Amino acid sequence: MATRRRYPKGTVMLAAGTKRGLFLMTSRDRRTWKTEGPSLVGQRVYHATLDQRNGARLYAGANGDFFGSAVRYSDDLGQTWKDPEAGIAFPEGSGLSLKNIWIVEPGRASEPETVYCGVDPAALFVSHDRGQRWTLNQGLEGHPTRQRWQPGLGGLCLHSIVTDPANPRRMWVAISAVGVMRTDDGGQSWTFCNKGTRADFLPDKYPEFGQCVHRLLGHPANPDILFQQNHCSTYSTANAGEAWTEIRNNLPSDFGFPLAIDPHHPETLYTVVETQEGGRTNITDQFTVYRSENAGHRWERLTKGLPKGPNVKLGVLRHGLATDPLKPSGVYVGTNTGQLFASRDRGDSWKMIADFLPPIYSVSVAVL
Amino acid sequence: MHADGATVRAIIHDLDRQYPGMRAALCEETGNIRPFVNIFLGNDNIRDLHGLETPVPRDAAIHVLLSVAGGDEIQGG
Repeated sequence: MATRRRYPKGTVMLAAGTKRGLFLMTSRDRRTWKTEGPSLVGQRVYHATLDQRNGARLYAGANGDFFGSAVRYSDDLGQTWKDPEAGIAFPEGSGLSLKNIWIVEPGRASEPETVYCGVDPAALFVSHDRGQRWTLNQGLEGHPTRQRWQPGLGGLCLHSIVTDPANPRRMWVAISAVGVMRTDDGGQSWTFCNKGTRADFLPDKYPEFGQCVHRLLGHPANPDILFQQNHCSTYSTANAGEAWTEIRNNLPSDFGFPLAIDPHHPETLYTVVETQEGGRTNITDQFTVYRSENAGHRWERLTKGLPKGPNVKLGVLRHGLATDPLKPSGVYVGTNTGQLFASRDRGDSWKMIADFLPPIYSVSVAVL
Repeated sequence: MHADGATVRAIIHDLDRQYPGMRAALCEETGNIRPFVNIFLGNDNIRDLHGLETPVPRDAAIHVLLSVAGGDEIQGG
């Protein structure tokens, strides 16, 4: 029997979900890293997260090409995995069939047994027993506009979930290409929150819904403030999504997928914007992460330690950018060509800590 | 494995009783067989017979085989 791995308290652990399983990178000083894995071999791990509210349970949205998808969980940091008792599935007769699991999001600190999951076709599932049994949110599934929802290139995916830590009845989800939706009654009903966000690809550029939101994040201290990276720009809201303000400003492109926030300085945002046509890669020959220290009023290019050259064509998917909770915050970015870069100084300088990984779908961080 | 049932659907139901999760592994929620899963009765793919309603003679052998699935998929916007 294999010896159970143990990590010293304070170890930083990255979970990199890839096209060929889940990799874990650990470091005690954020300078030297050890890569372990993959586990969940052969499965497309779109997202994984370590839930530390009640012990340390690692969840992974594992998508299989043959036998379907499941939120699998591990209580020994990825050495062994278990299946839920009643996994994510649409009711028979609904006409819907699970295609992919896109995100697993732990619930509020006040509900440590609760975990949320977003999937394609767009739906929200919830578990109130730490991932053993999952139930479909009927309010969203039965939304009166549902038949008019259209998928993005990646599918009709619910990829972002933001809970209001202070109000257990309020939360937001983001669906590509539907937009942001909010519930104020614990998930019974959902309203669109897309005012001010563009849909350049539709005849009506500012529709009620149909926007291609790529990533939605909540402000860690003020639940009325949210940020989104969209197919058509970068936005923030100060009123819970009632209206959005464009914060692209000097970013060189409207188009990008990921977004991250410095948890200690929530006005500090990170994104990676890309060419929309011609491959969805870095805009110049310099792979660049962009940082704003004033909530998007102005963006600066972060390039020190990141690759440059005529053949540098890197893309970052929507869950491929993450920050850690240390001071100063570390920043991590994984590419869809298998490179993982880390910064231990808020993005001022970078180091490649893994290469030749499968395409990276997601990066998440925890401090053990 | 041994299972009882007069049709492929009934046999999968019995397998799921013996091995919980088996039905979800073989079939989508719509009831259809997963795209890359193939179930053979003798030398015949049940898709070419009557699908899950294909009658299964007593003591018949059923094989579950995966497609040789190549290609790629896009994860993007």
